[in-house]
Amino acid sequence: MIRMRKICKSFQRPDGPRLDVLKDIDLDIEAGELVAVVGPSGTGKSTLMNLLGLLDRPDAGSYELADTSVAELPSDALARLRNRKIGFVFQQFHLLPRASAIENVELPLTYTDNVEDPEARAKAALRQVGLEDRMQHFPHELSGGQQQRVAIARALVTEPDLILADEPTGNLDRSAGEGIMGLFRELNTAGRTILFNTHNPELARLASRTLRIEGGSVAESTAPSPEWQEPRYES
Amino acid sequence: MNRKLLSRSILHTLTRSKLRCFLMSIGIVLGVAALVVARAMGAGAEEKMLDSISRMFSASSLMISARGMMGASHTGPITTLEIADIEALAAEIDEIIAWDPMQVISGQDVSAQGQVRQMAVYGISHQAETVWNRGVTAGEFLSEEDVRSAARVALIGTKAAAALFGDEDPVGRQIHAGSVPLQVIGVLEPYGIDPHGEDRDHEIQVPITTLMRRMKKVEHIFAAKLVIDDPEQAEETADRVTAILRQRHALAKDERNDFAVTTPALVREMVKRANRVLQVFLPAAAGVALLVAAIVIATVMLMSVRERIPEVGLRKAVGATDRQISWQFFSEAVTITLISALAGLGLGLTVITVASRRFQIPMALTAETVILSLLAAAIVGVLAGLLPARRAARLDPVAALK
Repeated sequence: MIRMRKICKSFQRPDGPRLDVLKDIDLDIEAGELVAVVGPSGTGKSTLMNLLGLLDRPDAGSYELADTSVAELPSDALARLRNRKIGFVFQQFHLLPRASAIENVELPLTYTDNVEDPEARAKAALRQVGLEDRMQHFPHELSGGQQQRVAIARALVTEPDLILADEPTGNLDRSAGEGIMGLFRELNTAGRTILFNTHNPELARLASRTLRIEGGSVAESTAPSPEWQEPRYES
Repeated sequence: MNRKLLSRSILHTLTRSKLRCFLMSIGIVLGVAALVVARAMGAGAEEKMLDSISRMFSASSLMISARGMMGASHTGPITTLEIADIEALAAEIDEIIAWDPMQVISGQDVSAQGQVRQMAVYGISHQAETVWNRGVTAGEFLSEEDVRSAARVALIGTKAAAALFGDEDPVGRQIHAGSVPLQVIGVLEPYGIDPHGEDRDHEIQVPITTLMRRMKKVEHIFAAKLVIDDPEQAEETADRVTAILRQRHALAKDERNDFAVTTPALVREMVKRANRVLQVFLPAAAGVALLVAAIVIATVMLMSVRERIPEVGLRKAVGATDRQISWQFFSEAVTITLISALAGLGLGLTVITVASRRFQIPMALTAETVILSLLAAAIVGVLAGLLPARRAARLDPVAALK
């Protein structure tokens, strides 16, 4: 599914030398994995997520997504890949405030060619996240957990190969966060490949595999374990 | 791309942010309304002017007037145009079916029973009634005999009559134009203001012979109006009139005409030129208003792009290309502009209807005006949409989603 080799990314600091955020990252993710990326804040978790999600380009290295080499693709082609292959879930949800739940879920289909019945697909996605009775609600009428579920439905609506979630429970209280993680587990069991960022080690334990980013490289990576620990959700 | 979803999203953006929508549309609504009203006023004024002119100067008229020779060391009035010239024209040109010579004293003191008023005294012939299409509402018009004998009789305008006689019937009464005594034999039909700005109801008319021999003591006339039977032939007839008059006035080849022949086409041209202020400059001012509206829309849109940075980032994340983002913002600007333009058109139409029905202001709305205003609004929309669309399309999704 994902094959990254010697990926480098650095940023110019306003005062001083360039900051190497990621150095020579090698990363392989197989279809069906549920991967947690952990590490202290500011260590490049989000940068890795942006690179994986084709929102940003690496300075060097090669990246294959679903057997497509994406490093040299023009930005329009990247946009098309984002639309078809990737679903994003953000810490801030990023729902359109003036659009209803179902309209928010339909949004990615705006940029998909030849969608027969966008409404039916959006309804199906909302059903998957358990919000079929909130379809006409606006974001301000929903709880945080429900808003994040709408966002997940939005990520699912294009049937992507990969779901990328950047601190998906960072803005949620504990029980809502548990709900979201439970939903990710369900989706993963149903075959979705999901990669999420978190700085909460408890959440990371829910993953089939954990990547630790530190000092610009993937410092620690545990092999996929067949038997997961049931989460002890403590904060 | 799914156009239906994008269109719906654009409409929702506009309908669900009412204040922003209002701010963007108000300039266009007022600008288009102003443009439409200005053009309608211009067209209405022109129509009214043409109307008043065609009453005086129909398509089958030719006007001959004495005119100074440019460059000649000639001062004072031209005295070469005479009644005999007009008689000769009428005899030689069959198309001329009626004619009326004219001479005038402007600012003559006219008095009756102790009242004195300054007014114009026109000298006319018995044919004036048909040639100028203005008869009398009381008493009688001048007769051929009155003209032949230079009778001391007068027709009086309604306002002149009111000034001299109040509510009394002026017919049969004596008036004095200067020292010349005249008997009022008829009251002229009300006419109003002529295109030269003269109040044609505050005047008296006397036989032209009376005016020339007894009052002004001149041999020449200053103008004559000819009625021809075929309006299509107006230009050709005018050419023949010119040729005959040049011959009669013994003008050498290099000499300029000492008269002018005015044709209906020329009059219309003059009216159009006089109306240029209304037809061009007022709408131009409305155009400036529209330009300001464009700047307002662009500014509000730019502000809204800033406010909608997360939306742009999100749309890019879910697969929008730069061009699709650009198209969305551009379409929003054009849509709001066109809807506002239609509203402005409606407002303009309302103003026009009220102004013309309730306040009798002459207004004429042409299809040209409607098309022009919608076109202007479309251009405004395009101009206003370009910059925000570009700005939105260039946003970096990573930064936009922070």
